[in-house]
Amino acid sequence: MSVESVQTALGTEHAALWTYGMVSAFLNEQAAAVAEGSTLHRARRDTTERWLRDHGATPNPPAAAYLPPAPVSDGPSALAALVAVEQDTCAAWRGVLERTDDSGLRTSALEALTTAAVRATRWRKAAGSAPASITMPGVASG
Amino acid sequence: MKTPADGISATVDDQTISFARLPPRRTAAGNMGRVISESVSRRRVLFAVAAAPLAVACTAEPSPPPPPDPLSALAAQARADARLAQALTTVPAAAEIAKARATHASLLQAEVDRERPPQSSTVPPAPTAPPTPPDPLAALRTALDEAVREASATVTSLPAYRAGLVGSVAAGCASLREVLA
Repeated sequence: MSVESVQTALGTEHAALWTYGMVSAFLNEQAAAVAEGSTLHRARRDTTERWLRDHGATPNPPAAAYLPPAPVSDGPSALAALVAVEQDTCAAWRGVLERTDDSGLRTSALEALTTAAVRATRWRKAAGSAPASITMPGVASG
Repeated sequence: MKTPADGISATVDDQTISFARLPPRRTAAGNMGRVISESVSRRRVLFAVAAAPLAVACTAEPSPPPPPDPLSALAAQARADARLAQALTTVPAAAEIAKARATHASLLQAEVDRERPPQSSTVPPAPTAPPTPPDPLAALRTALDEAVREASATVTSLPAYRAGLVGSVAAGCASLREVLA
């Protein structure tokens, strides 16, 4: 059960990495923050794949491309895509939290959920969204 | 038949409940069988005597009140943060923080009440307005840092079905902290 949820989380990490790569052309002013987000998602993807292999599962490969909820053609739509992919990541890692009693996995899922929520907030701030904060990251209505 | 070794084995046997239900060991001689069955019944008596205080101990165990629900402390903390933020109108994001922490408080309290339905009299004590701290922004930052820390520390010790809720509260506080960054 936890393996399945970790595969789902890995899927959102693949999507996040792809999205950060795709939006970088539109966010020159935030290049450093985009690069940082990329690096952190790459690290998370690697540790997640390692966890799956250690638990006898084959990590799901990334898709060739992903479809953001809205087309990305400029700075604001690029920020919206980043917010969306970080919120997907929050939901997936919250799903892991709810399905494991393994304390190591839980700690890393909590860290992934928290850092994704902070990045989503940062992008919402950059986009001028109000409120910038997300009250319950990982919950559809939050 | 009655050897010192027999006495020792009886004491050992008495410690396992399942053993007491095993049939008496088969013996070659019939007259010895009677002695053994007597010895088994003595074992049962010994077992009953030995188990009686155990049974009392087992039933007495749950009588002290259960430890306080860890989510109850988190809910109280969220209520306190909401009150603090409400009082600090000079901080631009204070209203947002007050609203979010009030939501956290009601979600956590709902889970506490679901697990242990409250008696009608246990209403949280009426809050006293917190004194306005000299540096409102720093006070809110400290409160949110503390909230992230407390919720995160609680997540690891919770049953899985509660870990998601408290994990989202921790991440929500980190998000609020980022608004103040």
